[in-house]
Amino acid sequence: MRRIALYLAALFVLGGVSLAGEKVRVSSFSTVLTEIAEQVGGAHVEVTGHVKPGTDPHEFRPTPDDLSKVANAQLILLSAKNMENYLPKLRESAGAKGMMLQVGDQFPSLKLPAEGENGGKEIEDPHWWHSIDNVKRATLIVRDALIQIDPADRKDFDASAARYVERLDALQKWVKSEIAKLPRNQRKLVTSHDAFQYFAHDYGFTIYPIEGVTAQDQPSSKKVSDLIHVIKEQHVKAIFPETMENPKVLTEITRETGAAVGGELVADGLGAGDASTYEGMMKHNVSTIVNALK
Amino acid sequence: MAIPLWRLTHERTEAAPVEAAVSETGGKAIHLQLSFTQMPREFKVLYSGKAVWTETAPRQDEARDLKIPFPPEGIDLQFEIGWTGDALAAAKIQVTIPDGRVIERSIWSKGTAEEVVTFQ
Repeated sequence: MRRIALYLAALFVLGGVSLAGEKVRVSSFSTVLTEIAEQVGGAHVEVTGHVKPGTDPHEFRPTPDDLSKVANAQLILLSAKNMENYLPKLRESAGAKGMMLQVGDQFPSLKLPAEGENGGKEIEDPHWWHSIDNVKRATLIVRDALIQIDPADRKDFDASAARYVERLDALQKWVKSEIAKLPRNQRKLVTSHDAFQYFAHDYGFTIYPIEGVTAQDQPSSKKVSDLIHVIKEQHVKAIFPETMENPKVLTEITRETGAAVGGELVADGLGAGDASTYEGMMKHNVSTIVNALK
Repeated sequence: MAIPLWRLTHERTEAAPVEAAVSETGGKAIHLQLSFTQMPREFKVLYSGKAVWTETAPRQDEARDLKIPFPPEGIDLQFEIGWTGDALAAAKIQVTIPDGRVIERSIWSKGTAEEVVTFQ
């Protein structure tokens, strides 16, 4: 009997299964997933958000402190779709025993034409959270992982996930109604980096990015000149910088085309102030776009 | 006797005029037809955030020409339909676009429906 009890205890510890009353330790490398884990897990989880709101996830590199927290986590949440290029290091250095969940890889990707050294090939757009449907999917994926680790609290995880999805449904309704204020032929989005393909897909926008997938991909002079031509030809009213990079090229384009600067969009996860929650970030982006383009 | 009793006992509001801001289609109009499984108290159709058609105590089938531009990207129309009670009700929506093509959609709801519908 004692041997069985020892075996079960070992299984729980090594397999990442939580003991009764103990909080599930979650390490998250996405600001959106941090919010989902907190909302779904509630009092049953202790979430460490390694990537903070307002940090560029393309540029984030884990510190030794991050790695030690990951080594101790039961659930590690990753945005995936090649966002975390430090993943092998994370696996190797942390020796993580917890469940490593690459959330974004569990739903379909939109492809982008790559630039720079990947020129000519298509790459996955990693910014999946700009589709509310994807965030709903992510919520259910996180819920299922928490249930697997802590089956005793299944009822609470189910109820919290349902409440969060309900809020996402209401948000989606609001977004649709706001976007409907823009005629479909005016839904042309010139942004600094290519982060809004999922949003464009859901709401009928065409994206003209100035830079590539990351804010550090600098545009060639030919690209800038082509873009100026498109903005004039398509009568694009406004262009949108983002909160995380230098808007110098944008300023040049606005001067050449007469298009206004439409306000800053939050592209790479949750931002600051009102945009520090998922709902706030989506409402900020949608209001900024609609007000500038209508 | 040909006029239903319902029509005689319900006040009817004439449709609101289509806003000038959306009548830029060069004289061409889309034809919008609505059919309800249950008569709503009222409905409103919005285009680009502006009301283009409002009816109080509508008939079971309503139709109207609306001067709304129909670009190759299509249009979004927003419908606000107020049904009485909580029974499941539906509206069939048909849009005939300037080239003669008919696009059909439907809205299902219990109580009030507020939905954006894309026609393309």
